[in-house]
Amino acid sequence: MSWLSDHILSLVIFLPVVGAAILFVFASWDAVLVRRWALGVSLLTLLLAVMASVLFVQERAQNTSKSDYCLVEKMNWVGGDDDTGARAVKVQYKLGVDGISLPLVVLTAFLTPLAIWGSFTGIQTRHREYYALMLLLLGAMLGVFCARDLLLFYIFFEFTLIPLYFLIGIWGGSQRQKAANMFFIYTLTGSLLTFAGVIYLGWKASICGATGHVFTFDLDELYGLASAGALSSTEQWWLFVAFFAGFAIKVPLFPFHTWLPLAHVEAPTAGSVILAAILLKLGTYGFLRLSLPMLPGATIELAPAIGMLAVIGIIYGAVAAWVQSDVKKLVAYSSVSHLGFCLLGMFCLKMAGLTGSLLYMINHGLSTGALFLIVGMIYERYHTREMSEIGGLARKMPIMAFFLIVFTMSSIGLPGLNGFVSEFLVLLGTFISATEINSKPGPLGIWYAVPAASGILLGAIYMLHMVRRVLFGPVKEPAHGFDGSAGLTQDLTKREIGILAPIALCCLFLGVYPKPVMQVMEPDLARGLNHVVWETVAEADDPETTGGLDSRRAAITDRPGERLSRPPVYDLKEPIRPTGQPSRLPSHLASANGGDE
Amino acid sequence: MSNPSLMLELLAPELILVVGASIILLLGLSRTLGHVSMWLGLVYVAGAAFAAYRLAEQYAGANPLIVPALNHSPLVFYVRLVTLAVGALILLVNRHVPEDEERGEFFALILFSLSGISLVSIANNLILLFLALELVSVPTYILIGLSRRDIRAQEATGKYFFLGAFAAAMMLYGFSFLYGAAGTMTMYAAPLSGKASILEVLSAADALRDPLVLIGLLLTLGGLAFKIAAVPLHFYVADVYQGAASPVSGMLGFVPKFAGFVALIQIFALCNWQFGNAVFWLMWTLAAVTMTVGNTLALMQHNVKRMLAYSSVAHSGYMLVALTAGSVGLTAILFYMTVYGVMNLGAFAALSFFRKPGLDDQDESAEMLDDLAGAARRHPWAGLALAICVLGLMGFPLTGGLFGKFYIFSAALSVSGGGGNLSAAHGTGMIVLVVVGVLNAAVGAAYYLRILATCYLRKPAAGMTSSECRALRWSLGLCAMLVLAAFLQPGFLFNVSQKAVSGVTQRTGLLLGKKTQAQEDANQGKISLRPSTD
Repeated sequence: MSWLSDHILSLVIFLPVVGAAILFVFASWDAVLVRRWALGVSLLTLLLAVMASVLFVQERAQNTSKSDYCLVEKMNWVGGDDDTGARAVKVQYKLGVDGISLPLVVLTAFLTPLAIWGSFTGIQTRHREYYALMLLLLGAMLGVFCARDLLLFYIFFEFTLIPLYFLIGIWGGSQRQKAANMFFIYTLTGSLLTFAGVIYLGWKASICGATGHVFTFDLDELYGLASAGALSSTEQWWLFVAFFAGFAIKVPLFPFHTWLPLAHVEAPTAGSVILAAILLKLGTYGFLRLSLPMLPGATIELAPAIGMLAVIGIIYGAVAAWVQSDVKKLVAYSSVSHLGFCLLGMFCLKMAGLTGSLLYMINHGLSTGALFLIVGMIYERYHTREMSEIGGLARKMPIMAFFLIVFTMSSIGLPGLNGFVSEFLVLLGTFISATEINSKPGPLGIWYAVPAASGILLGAIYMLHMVRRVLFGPVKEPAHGFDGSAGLTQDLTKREIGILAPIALCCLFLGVYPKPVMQVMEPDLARGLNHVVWETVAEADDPETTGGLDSRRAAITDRPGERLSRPPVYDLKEPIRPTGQPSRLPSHLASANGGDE
Repeated sequence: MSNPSLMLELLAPELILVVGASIILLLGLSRTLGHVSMWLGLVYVAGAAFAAYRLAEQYAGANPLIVPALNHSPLVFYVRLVTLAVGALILLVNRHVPEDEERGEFFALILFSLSGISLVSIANNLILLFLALELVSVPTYILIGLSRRDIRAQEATGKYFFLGAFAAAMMLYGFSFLYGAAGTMTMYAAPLSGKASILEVLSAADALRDPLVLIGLLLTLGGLAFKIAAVPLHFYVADVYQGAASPVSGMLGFVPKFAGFVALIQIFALCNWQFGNAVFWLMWTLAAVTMTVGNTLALMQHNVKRMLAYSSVAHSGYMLVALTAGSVGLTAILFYMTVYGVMNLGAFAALSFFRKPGLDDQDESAEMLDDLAGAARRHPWAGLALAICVLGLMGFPLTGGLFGKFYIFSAALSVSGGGGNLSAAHGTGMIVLVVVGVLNAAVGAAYYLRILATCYLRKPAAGMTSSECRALRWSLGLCAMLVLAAFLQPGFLFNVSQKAVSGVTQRTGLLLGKKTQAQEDANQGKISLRPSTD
């Protein structure tokens, strides 16, 4: 058991990779065996991920304040102990999960088997390669969320491009090559700029850090570097831009979203599901993991600009979704709108908004993933996604209609389903964002929240508009009619119900009782936020006084009404340090940095 | 020359190669024995590697070991090792290229060319340096012509030869200016011999103010820019790569380029990396323009060989970025050069593996993008090997190419605050150069992706076959595995190249009589300084 708990994250990441390699090697397997193998491996991965979360909760209960993250695995990968005197490089294979990454790991491991199961009828050619790539993608995504070394993070982050490139390029629609190329080049360009930022941080660590002339990418050391104030405001600004280039394109934030609708429409169903549900979250996760804690000054400075883009994205995405006639394109544009909310919540820099933002990532993954699955199921039956060609399907496919309405409601944010909780928290955070953070106004405020709230209204309009046209009215089927050649019945088969039901249950559960998930997330979100708030405190007032501490505490803990008002389970004082003695500040740094500012 | 036996000893690996090449040349005349030429070449390469290893062991502490014409430093060992390792792969990849009766000449020429590279790294005299560079180049001119019975191969030979001769003349002219300034051809003089050396002249504080030195350096740089195919002297690349048979093109991506970069390192080490404003910004521009032009031209190609040719220009640009950073970039250059040599060779080996129907019922090596259509579906393993090499050229995770780019950009950013011989403005310039570099890498990804897309996404082309040559298959697989290994354990190669570089920087510091760590070691008897005995 202890070996297992020591290596659980490696197992989670590399089990699917090994599964994919085996698929590639055994060329003689027939389609049925290949499908079963892929589903089995991904389910086993889910099992391991669930085990990892149990171990995580146990470990956290045992040593609450010892480290920021749990289930650590550490191994030197490149260099580290070189004595030639030149700048050596230390890259570690270091894994760990905390309350921010664990929910995303579970989400990934939960949705991928369903996406694989959902491809059983849709994929008719080159099965072996398809399922191998799906498993490879699963491993890479899990790796991104588990990495605790910046370079390792980047490697996984970039590697996700390859499997999805082939998934879109081989099994996509008629414009698949164009879509795949655009997706690949666009996101690669951004992430290469991030690469330059990553290296710059490593270099900064080598001249300022305690490691002594070694390029290091250990996230802990980089956080220490940031909270010691080693990065001047100019440097922070440029690094923020470098990270922004990679992550904003991935999210995608307006106006960098142009690759997304095409990629979504052309991708096979499972590709769209994974893309929307998890790959887009790599961008938001990157902001949350890297930009906020490491570049607090720039975050506060640039938050209004990002908030503005997010609001534009919310409204633009919604309006664009409204006018689509292709159901899949509609859902794709709705993603642009939804992820605007996600970033808005993140950059309002309030606890409520951050919690809402992280919950939003999960909820959007569930509901949009399910919507793409349903669109795929309709497409398999009628070979069209045009709303003008289909209609009144509620009579032909009542079960499908039930699920479509559930997920539509979840996506709109109907109270009682998951979307509501996160949307509410995000808007709340944005509304109260302008209230003081330590005697300085926060970055966003009512002028961001009001237009964003109108985005919810627009969201209800376009989603219900779609539901009305697809499900109700007179029955309309395309000229070629219903195609049951893949063994499908007119309404959903048992397999398809089996795919959608777990997601629906999760939506319901997270809508009614999100507390366990929030409890896992909040300590780490608070820690991340503290890095940012800390920066303003250092600028704004004298933190030695208790007043400063109290106001900070108030700023962090202000949260919505009685539903959420419970004593924080984390110790807020711990990460907040007085200016005079930041814990991880190397002695020579104070003088080295003085000249920069 | 009072100690010829020591000189011969230091040159043992090259002597083995040259003598071996001569034997192969003779045996090639025989119809039956000609067939073993390639395998015999491998044996000599192994022998040379063994000799190089023994030499490095024997003189491990002796840095630098200077006899008048030679100077033995850890760099020499690294260059020999990499040359011989990649050289063995080059021999394997070329197994099927020459006609039956030409095997002897063909493989002998490859060995001659390989021996030249290590001579470049050991030369301590401008004349010897020039001869070594020509020993690298001249056999390649002939190899191109031998590799194919095609009018384009003849054209490529002619073009390469004339332009090469022009570049060599330019370089030689530059050397004559350096000679004029220094009054000697010796690059490094042994510390206690009291002789003049070019190092003393070039590393003086305001050496670059002297027009003789400046002109000499610029002309030398121009000549070497041809060898590494840097931008204004890149015009020949596409035609030459296209004209030669694919395996020979793969060799051209490594052999002259490696020799050129080693020579550049030698020359800049003589300046002790004091670039001054003019040379720094010249190198800066050279790097930026080379990357950009190379990638832009590659983007416009439909012929894979031409595409890879222009991409090799771009890769020289990346390495020039590290060279611009000064002595901190050397390790990155050596690492990148090695990884690039293998990836590039692998890509050309794959081109040679996939055959298309040609004239006279003969199959030809794939050349256009269309020839590769669906290649990975026909031959999944070869397709995978090609994909790994191409992803490596792209600098993508899971390949050594990622760490190549990583080390280069780290080196460039590590002087971004100024420092060393660079000012703060230079540091900012380096940051801009890195941004230009990563954007170029994105442009590069666009055309490499086209190769991947053609191999994996399209329907297999009609009439595509594959090469039967077993040596080619094995070497293709080996290249791909080496590229993967350079990702999994980049530290190994990096540490080896770091040792080589520390030899170079220590040598310069030591000979300038600075109080470096190396000299303290010498005082403590860790390093023996052998004075020249004449």
